[in-house]
Amino acid sequence: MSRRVFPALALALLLAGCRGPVEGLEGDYECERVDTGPARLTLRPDGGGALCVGAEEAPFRWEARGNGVVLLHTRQGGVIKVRLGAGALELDMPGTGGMTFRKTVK
Amino acid sequence: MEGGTGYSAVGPDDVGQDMRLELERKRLGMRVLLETAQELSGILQPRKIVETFLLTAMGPVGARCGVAVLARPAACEGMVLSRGLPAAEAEALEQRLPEICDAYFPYRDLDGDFQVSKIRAIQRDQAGGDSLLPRGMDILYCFTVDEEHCGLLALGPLLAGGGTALHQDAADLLQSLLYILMGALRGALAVSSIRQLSVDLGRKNDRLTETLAASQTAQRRLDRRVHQLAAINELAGELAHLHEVRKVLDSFLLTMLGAFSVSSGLALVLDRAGRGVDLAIRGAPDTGLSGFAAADVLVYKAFAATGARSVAPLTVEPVAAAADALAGCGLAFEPACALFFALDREVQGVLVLGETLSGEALEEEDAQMLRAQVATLLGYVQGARRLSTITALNDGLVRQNEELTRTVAELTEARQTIALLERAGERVRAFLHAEGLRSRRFSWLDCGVILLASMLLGFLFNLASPNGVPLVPGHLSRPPAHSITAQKARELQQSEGAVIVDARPQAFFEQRRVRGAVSLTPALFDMVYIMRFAKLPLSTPLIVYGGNISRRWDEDVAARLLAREHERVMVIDDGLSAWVARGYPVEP
Amino acid sequence: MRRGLWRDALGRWLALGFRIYLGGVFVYASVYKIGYAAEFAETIASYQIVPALAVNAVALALPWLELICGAMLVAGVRVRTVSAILAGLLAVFCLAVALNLLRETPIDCGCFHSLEERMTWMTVVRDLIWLGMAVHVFFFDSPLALEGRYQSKLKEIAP
Repeated sequence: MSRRVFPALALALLLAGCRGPVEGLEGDYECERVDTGPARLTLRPDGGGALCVGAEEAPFRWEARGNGVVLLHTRQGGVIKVRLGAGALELDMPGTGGMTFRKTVK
Repeated sequence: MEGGTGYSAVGPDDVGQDMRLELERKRLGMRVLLETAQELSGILQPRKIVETFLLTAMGPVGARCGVAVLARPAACEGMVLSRGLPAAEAEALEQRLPEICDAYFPYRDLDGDFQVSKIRAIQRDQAGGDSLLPRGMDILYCFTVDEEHCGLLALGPLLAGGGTALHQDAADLLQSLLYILMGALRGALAVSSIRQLSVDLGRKNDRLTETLAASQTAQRRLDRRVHQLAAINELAGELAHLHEVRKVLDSFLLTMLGAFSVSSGLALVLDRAGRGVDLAIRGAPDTGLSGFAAADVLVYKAFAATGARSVAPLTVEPVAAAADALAGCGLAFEPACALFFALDREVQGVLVLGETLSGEALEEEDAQMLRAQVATLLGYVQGARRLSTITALNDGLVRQNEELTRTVAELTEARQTIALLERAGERVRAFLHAEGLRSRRFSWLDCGVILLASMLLGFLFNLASPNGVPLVPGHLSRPPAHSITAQKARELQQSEGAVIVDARPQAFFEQRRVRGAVSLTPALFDMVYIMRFAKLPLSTPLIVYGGNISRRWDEDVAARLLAREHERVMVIDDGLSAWVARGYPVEP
Repeated sequence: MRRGLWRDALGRWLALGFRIYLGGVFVYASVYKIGYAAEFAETIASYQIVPALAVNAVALALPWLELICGAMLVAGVRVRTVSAILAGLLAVFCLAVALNLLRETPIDCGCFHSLEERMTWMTVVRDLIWLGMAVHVFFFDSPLALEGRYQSKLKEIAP
């Protein structure tokens, strides 16, 4: 009996750490800050995404955590915490202060 | 020829005359004898001799009539010749031969033997047969020619004197004549007997020739028999070496065809239990008799034709009227002789022989012999069948033996394999036991293995992952950026408005930083740069700081800024600590 | 009898609980680090202990070591060796955290995720508790171990 229990338990623990993106968050978000210029945040359903300012683009992976928090992971090992609030994403960019991205309506 | 007329007493004067007369008479006598001898010598027939003699003898004696008899008293046959007698009397005399024999040749009274060459002068009155001879024949002489033949000479009344007594000289002469006669007769009789013997010999010779022919025929038969027997003898030697029924049959058939001079034949053995047919056929093609059904029909017809009611084991029966009985059996030749034989109730057979080369039917003896040979064949066939059975059994035994040997070998191999497996199992068990014991203990080996596995898995996963990190930090493989002292940095900040960039993580930046520094970590470089540095002129001096023994963030950021074509990017030696050591302002 | 029961409960069954808990913790901790190796490398770099050349290698290997050891501990395979390794790791973590606390380095623990709360002395205590659990597991056989069953089977085969 335990021979089956242990691998199942180990698998359950392993799967506990793997949570996919929360549905409903994908889409394009825009920020109208004056000092930095218009910025656009894209969350793709496959977990990828990008921050675009003008012609520049910075790719990332995104991951929805509990408590209305979305984490953006850069390829270089950086993490940016994003809060969900009233249909907008509040991005806490180091050095630039808070930025609010609103979902673009199509 | 003058008779003995001068015999009388004479005086002394006449002595010379007498002597002359005497001599003359003697000479005359001698001449008569000589002539008689000459005459008789050329004649071979006894009758003629006797006739001539009678004529010759009557003259000198001076008899008027004469009878001569030559007879075989034992057989009461002979001849009676007469001269000077009337024909009727002569004929009657011839009729009285047996009586004459009885009367004058009384051999029975004697010892049974005639006295050869004996001449007896018989007085007429002494003899019992007075009435047999005519009157006047008083001079009687009996003589024996040989052991069988006797003779009688009777001379009738003498011319001179008419007396019956004979002169001494005449008697002597007569006796001498008789001797000559006897000699002549003997010769003639011998000749005739030789002739008779020759005839007999010829007859016997014929008989011998016939017998010889018969014996040659018999010889031929014997030869044939010997040939047959020799062939059969060879067959026996040959059959003794044959172990197959078919070969036995073939050899037997060939020998039988040769021995009995038959051009074609067939020998067949049918095994009803095994539904097998062994067929040998010679001088004719096989017309499907090797098939069981056709062979069965043939054997059954042969059996039916034997007239036997049941099949007795080891019997041979001739098939009566083979041609009719076996008609319609598909034989390719005309059967002349057939024999049905049975080994037992199940195994039966038939021998069929065609016409002989000479076209004659087989003789009874041949048929008997054939039958005897077939009986012999039965023994060989049975022997061959038993041998084949034994061979089959033996083969089976050999096969079983081989299988047994193989099985034993396999078993041995299996046992070895089992032993090997047991040993292997023992070792595995011992290994597992040792492993089990080891699992309860701390093991450096396990430690090493786990560490190695972790590293291997980590590196492999990193290679495969799209978010992999370089194994070696980037700054070690790049030329270091232009470095300046904290003092120089301060000067540039104040004189040229250089932007001081803090490359350390956010927490470090928030804890303590150069006053006026901007946070730009390599981790968030792209995002922060496009938000804050994208609009910065490329000529603006950028002074980067922040690093420790684990990471040179300043070098990383400087490299990236240079990559974005900023013209003046510098790194502060010793970073924040040098800045602080100089007493330059920091915040918070 | 009661003492035996207590000893059993405090020994074997407690060891089982520790084993599963500790194994689970390490497996859970490893998963995020494996997925975001670059972030873990940054965390290690923040500790300022590991030399620059080894930072990325440690960041790649350490999560897998945690995963393997955690899984083996839960399954009950080579429990002693694994608990010894984990105890060693925990000891190193304690030292590292304590050192950086003394240095007043403003960093997160990085034990499970990035962007956690700052590390405190409580982190050291927590790690020490886990270390104690590992030591307990090292010294006490626990039931429901895969190798234990395997051992009993082996005994059945080879009396």
